Amino acid sequence: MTTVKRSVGQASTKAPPIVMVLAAIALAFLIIPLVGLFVETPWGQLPELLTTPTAIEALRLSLITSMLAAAVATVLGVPLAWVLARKQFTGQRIMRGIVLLPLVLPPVVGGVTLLTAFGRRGLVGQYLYDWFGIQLPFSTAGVVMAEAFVAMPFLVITVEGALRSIDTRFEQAARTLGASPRTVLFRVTLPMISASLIAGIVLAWARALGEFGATITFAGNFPGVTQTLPLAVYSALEVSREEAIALSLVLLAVSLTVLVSLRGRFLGSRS
Amino acid sequence: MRLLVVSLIAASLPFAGCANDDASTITVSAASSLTDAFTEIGAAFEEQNSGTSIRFNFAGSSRLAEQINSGAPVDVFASASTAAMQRAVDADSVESPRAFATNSLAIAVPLQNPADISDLTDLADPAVTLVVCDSPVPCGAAAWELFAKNNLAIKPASLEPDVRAVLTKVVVDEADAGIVYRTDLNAVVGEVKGIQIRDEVNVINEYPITVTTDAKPDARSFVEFVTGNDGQRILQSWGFGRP
Amino acid sequence: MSVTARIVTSVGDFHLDAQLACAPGETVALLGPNGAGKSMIVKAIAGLQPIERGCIRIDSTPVDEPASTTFIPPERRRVGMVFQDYLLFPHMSVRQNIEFGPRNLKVTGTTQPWIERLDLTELLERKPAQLSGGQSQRVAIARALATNPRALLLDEPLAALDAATKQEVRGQLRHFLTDFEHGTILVTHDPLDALVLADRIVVVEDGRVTQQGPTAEVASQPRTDYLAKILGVNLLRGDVHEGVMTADGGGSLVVSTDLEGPAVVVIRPQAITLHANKPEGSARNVWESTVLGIETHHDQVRVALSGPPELTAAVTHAAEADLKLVPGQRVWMSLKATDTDVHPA
Repeated sequence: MTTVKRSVGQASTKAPPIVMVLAAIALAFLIIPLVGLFVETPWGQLPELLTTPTAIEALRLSLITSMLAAAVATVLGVPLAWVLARKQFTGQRIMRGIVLLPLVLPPVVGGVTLLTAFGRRGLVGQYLYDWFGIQLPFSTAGVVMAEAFVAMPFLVITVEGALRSIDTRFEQAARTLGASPRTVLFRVTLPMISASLIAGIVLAWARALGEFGATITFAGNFPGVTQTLPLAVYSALEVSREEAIALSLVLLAVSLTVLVSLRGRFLGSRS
Repeated sequence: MRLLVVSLIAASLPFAGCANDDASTITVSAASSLTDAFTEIGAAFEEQNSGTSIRFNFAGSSRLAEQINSGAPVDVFASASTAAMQRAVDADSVESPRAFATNSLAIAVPLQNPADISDLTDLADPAVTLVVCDSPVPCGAAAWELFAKNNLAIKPASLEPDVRAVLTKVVVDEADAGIVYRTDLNAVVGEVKGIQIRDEVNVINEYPITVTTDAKPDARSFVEFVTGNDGQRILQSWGFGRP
Repeated sequence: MSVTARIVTSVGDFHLDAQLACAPGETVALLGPNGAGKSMIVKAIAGLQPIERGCIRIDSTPVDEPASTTFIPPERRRVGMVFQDYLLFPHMSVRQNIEFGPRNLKVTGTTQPWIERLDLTELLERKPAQLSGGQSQRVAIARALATNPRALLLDEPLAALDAATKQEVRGQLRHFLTDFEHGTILVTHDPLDALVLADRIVVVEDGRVTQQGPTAEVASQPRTDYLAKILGVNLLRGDVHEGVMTADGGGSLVVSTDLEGPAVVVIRPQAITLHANKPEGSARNVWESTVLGIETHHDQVRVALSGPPELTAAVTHAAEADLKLVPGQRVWMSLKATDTDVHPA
């Protein structure tokens, strides 16, 4: 009989060696580019590169538009997730597919489709322009739209999954206790999925922050109006690698901070 | 299991893409304004030199210079401005360049000309949605020079990464006007309306071409072709000026 | 306070057609196998399952009447419901759970009395995850009653408890329901719950009511095989003193219990053995009785015996043949004291 060494405390599972090897490669694949970035960063010039008007404008614009986009994604996405999770209707699968489309669509393609819908000669955009003189491309509102377009599916997926996983009988119990459907939503359903809801919002925000293709195609590129941090990085690449790297570092730092502070509540698991 | 890992790694190697794996392919980075002219030149070159193929990389010249300086595996660099070329020269990534064409600016407006543009000065109207190239890009630098030369205070709606992007915004009628090269108007005949800018108030760009310092030996022959009769004839047919 | 219902509805292949009534102060048990449709009935009464035909009235007001397209949504029916798994809101404390209903319905002053009556004062700031099964049940009841409902619906209230707790909680629930002034409808698949807690039993099988009546009657005269199998027990009410139960209807039994005072005794017919002659043995309850009647079921024979107290025994077909049982025949019966189940009344 072979004696197996037991580790005191947490029970550990013995993984086959191949799993450890591939996991190590995966980690390296993700970490090495970050290390590369750090090594090439012009640490000495960093303060000066990051305090240029361009850099500050880009950061400010990025933060504002990404938060607005996350808000839009939440206000529109939660009801959509609710309908997908709770209602049964024909064409539901197709509807879900369409909702998730921005996830797989190349962002530039997303930008093009936004143009065909909301551009000056677009399906809806033409009325906005002819009747109200509103042009969404080249405006900050256009940036928010582009970012919300790509970010919303993340929120919808997360929230829909969470809504499906909770016991709907809690909502029934609430109804017998005099709660109207609206009260049920705000005092029972949403609080019960709060962890996933927050994770979904943060995910959407992070996606909005990093959005490039749809923004540059639909909203354009102008400092202070539409030049978000990713666009500023792209512009900087035309001039100076150092500036591009410095700006990339800012994006990285902001994203990393938020993701780490979520502490792994990402995967929709509720404590 | 270990065998699987090793064979997976081995299988991916061919896709790593060695820089000079194919001796008969010449990689050319050219300004996006040269897209149509150079594509034709490339075809003509390949016809005359069977066995050699040309691979093009069109983008804003400033970006191309940065790529070359970062070690991109390019053999020939054709820039839309001497300023962009100078960046590559300063970094010792290219050999001495020589001019092969000139270009000047023009205004592109959508076919319906919704903002009723007829002249350069119309662009100063703040209600006009104007797009130009980003400042480091030759087309953009030239545009700002143009505005300064004509004492125009202009605020564009967007700074695009290259001149073809500017053109696209005009073609889809998203912008009222765009500053492009005169040659670009020839590339989109029927899709936009062109408004010429008189030579006296215009800005002329000189286009230099050269081989990179680690270029393949054949690369030089492509440069010769461009500066030779065949190349020049094609360039001028597209509206470029003589160097 | 009172509920009357005629419910006709279908869900998929399942078709429900049932009629029942519950008077103020009465406890009615809906007894039946799993999937019989009992939960559907209370859900319909609560408003969580709209019916296709029929009418549900609470205090004579129709709350669901498809014919007149009347439908009052659950939040306005003022019916309290306790669910099988209690469904206490996990993100709220016990206090917030109990106050949830009154807050929605804007009633005040109703929570404190129930908190005290159900002994929940010390648990108020705990979260549901920190409560035991019995505690959760009390909180669920307080939560339902804090809204001052006109009727109480209990869906398998003891199913989520382990055997030991079940016994104790059943007793407490019995105390509570006896004093409860509103009508209560209780859903259960456990006959013991029905016997101990209900005044009337409505038997639901496969979407239909197969028998209904006062508890003792249904208990002793099951009319379907299912009932006979799970229920057909003897139910005696009376007074227990020093291990002897004096039945209300006369007669006494030696029982095995420490309880004193009013009690309910359950005796399974299978626990009574029949003998041609007086048997020897340790059983405390041995006497001679007359066969009053014989009922044949497909797997057992039920023999009604004279008392007092009158009891029903169950034997096999073979045993019946052996003993040559006929009505009017004298026979000896034997019942162990430990084979009786005593509950406080």
